[in-house]
Amino acid sequence: MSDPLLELDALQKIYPTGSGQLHAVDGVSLTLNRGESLGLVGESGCGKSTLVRVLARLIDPSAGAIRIDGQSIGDIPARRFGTHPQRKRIQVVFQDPTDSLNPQFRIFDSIADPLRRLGGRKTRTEVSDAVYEAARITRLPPELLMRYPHQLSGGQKARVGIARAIILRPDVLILDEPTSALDVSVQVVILQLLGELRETLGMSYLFVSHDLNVVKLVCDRVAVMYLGKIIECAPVDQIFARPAHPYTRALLSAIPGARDTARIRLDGEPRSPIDPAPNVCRFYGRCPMGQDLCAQKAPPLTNIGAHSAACHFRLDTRQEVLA
Amino acid sequence: MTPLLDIQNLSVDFATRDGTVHALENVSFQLARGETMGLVGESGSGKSVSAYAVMRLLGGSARVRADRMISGGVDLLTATDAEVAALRGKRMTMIFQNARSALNPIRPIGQQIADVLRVHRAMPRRAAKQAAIAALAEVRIPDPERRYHAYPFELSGGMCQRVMIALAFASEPELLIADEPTTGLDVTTQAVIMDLIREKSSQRRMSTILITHDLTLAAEYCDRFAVMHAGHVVEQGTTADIFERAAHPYTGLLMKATPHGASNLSDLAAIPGSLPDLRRDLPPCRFVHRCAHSAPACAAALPRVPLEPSHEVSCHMPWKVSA
Repeated sequence: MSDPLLELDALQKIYPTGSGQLHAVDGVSLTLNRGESLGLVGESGCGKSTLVRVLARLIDPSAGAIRIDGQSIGDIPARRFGTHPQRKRIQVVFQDPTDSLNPQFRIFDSIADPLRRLGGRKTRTEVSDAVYEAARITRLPPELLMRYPHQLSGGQKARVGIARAIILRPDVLILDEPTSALDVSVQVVILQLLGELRETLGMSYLFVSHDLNVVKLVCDRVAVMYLGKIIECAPVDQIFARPAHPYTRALLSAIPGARDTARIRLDGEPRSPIDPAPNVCRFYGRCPMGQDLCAQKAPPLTNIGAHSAACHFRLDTRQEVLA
Repeated sequence: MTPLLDIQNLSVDFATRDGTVHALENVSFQLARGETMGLVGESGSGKSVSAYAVMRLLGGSARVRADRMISGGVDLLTATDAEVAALRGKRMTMIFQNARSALNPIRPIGQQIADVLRVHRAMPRRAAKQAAIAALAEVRIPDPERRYHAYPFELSGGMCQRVMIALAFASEPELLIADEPTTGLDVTTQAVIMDLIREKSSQRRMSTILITHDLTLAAEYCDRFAVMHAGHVVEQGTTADIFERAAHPYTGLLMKATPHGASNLSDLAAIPGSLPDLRRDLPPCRFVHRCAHSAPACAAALPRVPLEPSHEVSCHMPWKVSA
């Protein structure tokens, strides 16, 4: 299955700060295929959220290209993108359903808002029909539509967040930690709903999360991000069974319940994202297997089959690790 | 051996404008020295209220009743506020859920730790500063001398959480209540923090109550569990009792909702129904409306069935856990 829908090419987002250039997203190339669910994982501060905001075109990239169906959207200024025809093809479900809903909007208006802004001219009945339909497919009880966010439970607000993201029938749904604020039981319902909607509405997901147990269940492929770079990307089974990058392996070993693998403790904090040395591997210094080479030459992302990783000493090619 | 914490039939009601909320009813548990107990259940099940009751932090609207409530030899039911104040923060401490808002925003973090040391361990100013720096180093805050002067807003969420833990450990407590200490943190930081708590428990024979809804995490760190639902402890036992021989239907459902170990989204099941309204007159078993195994007998008074010396369940039909 290789039918690229969303392509990122050497995408970069640099923020100038008092002490130098902060490389939040640094040369990310990634492809989201049609119908695919791609997981994006990494520690906080690794640039996941900046990448999401660049993709949703809330901010402009510093360099690089974003293409949807081959059409470039990275060079449309964020200011203008809000009304651009391509805007409705990418929608975001934000992390905290409480903070991302306008407390002064009734639920109906929160869901209708994207449609009114981007759906072209619509009569009141058309808007209303679409809102009720969106509520129906996200299983949001229609009697809640006239209420305000504070009157809803966390799970119901999560449904509202999804309903308004799908009302324009986007091709790409960016899910930014969609269940991290929810209880385990509610999380199950929302994950199952998302799984179902992907099939019925034919959407592709970019699923940003730091809960690897969840990513394992809902994603086809996983990309691991570290300090602004993608350091590994592979089908989900491969990444869990046979991580190639030492960072990924440490991340997996830290999952609670991963009793079968010895915990790999990462000491220290990540390197600074401000003016990073271009020739040093970003993980150097924290990496349990770092060697002199890693400080002289930053490893590029290389492919072995469908499995790419940026490490000079890929674990999946080493016999002693495979044994 | 007398337990450090002995709670018998603790009930808490809150008087509100909309009626009396029966938040806890007949909650009983004991905690031995050096033991870690997991307190698990959905949001709203009474986990935090139990913790606040033990810390005597509940506000004026709470009505607390119990047959026995003893912590470290002090009777919490009859102790004066001054006596509890001497205990709190010194012999029993709490790690609050949201570290950034629990810290004083306008006082450098190092000084906040030094304050604890000066008040509770009567350290002179200079010694307290040195000890605070050592405490920061212990929770793996990089560059502790410099960070001593940092304000909470200058630190990441994970670092604030670690400061909170340093603060809790500073007075060398006998009892630590950790309320979701790692929610929202990366798995790697989570592992570091949980290992630290475990280290302290074994070094100083500190007893810990770990409040969480992450069963997988708790299983890794807890000796025993109390499972709460709607203000009742429905089941308690050793980690093996709970994970291998769960006897209450709710415990079984909670585990089926946990993503870890599932290979497919459809393996997970949400817990049917929702928590009952705790303002209403409630049936003896507060789970009866959500239970697939309820029988006429369930309308009778709620029993406490000892299954093994370590394992107790509040259910008329124990073991009927849905397979």
